[in-house]
Amino acid sequence: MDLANDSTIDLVVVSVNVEKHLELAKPALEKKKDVFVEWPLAASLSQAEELSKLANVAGVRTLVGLQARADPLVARAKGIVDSGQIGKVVHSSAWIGTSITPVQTWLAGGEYWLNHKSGGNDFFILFGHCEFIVLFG
Amino acid sequence: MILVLDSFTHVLGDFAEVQAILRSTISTVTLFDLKGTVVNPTYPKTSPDHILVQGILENDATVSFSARKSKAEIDDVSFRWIISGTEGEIEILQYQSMWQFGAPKRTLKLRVGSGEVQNIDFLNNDTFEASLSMPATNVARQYHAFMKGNTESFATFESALKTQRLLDRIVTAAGWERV
Repeated sequence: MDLANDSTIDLVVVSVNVEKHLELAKPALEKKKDVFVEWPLAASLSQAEELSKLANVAGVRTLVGLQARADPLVARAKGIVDSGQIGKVVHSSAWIGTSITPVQTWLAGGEYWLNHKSGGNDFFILFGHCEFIVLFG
Repeated sequence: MILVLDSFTHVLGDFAEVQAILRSTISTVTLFDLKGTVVNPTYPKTSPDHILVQGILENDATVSFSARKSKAEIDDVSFRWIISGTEGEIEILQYQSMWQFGAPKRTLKLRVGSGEVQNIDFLNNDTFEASLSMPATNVARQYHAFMKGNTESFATFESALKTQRLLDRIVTAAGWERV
C-alpha cells in the first residue's frame, strides 16, 4: 500500500510467490501504477482475469515475467518462419527435460511448488514458460 | 466488454483441439530446511512431473510437446524444439537450463529443402549476452523492451492471460482439477 500511495513511484514490481500476486498488485493498479508481475500472472485463471480487467480499467502499462519473449533467439526463429523460408508450418514438436529442478527432494518453505493447486509448479512455471511452442503455428 | 486486442494475439496461435496427459509419478518428496535437516521425509506431492500435450492449431499445424522429469537428460539437452514446414525445418536446442533463462549454450539451426544445415547467428548486435549472465540476460532484455515499448518482446497482463487460459485448458483436457 505504501508503494501504491507514493506519487514518486511509476512502476511496482511483484516478484513473490504466485499466491500473493493478486493481493499485492491490486492496490497498485487501483492507484494507476504501471505494474510488473512475475509469471504466472496469478494463482488461478479467475485471478488472472481479475488482474487483467483491473489493468484495463486503470489504463496502465503492464509487464509479465515471460522473459523468453525477449530472447533474440526467439525473434530470429520467428523471423525465419515469417520470411517463408521453411514454407507453411505443418508441424511443431518440443521435448522438455525438467531435471533442473530436483526429482525427489525439495526445500521446506517452497511447498507450493509441489502442490497442483498452488498454480506455481513445474507445470504452471516451467512448462508455462514454454508458451512459445505454439508461437509459430 | 471490448478488450483492447493485444499485439500478441497474432503470434500466439491457439489450439483448435487439444489432448493432454498430466501425471504425478512421484507422490512423496523429502523436504529439507536450509541447514540440510530433513523436515518431512514424505511430503505429499500433487503437482505433475510428466506432461504430454498434443493437438491441432487453428491454422491447421500439428503440435506436440512432452516434459519429462529425469535425474539428468541423456544429452544435456533440456529443450529441443523442431518446427517443420513444407519447405524446410528449424531446430532450437538449449542445454541444462530452463527455457526462459536463455542459457549461453543454445543453438538455432535451419535446413531448407535437403540443403546444408545452417547454424544461425541469432545474437546479431545483441549487447546483453556479453555484459550479463544467465538468467539475468532475458530479464534485462524484457525490461529494456518494456521501456522502449517494443511490444513484440514482452508480455502484458492481457497476453499472459492467453497463456494462462491455455494452461487451464490443458489441465481440463487432462482431466485434472482446475486451479
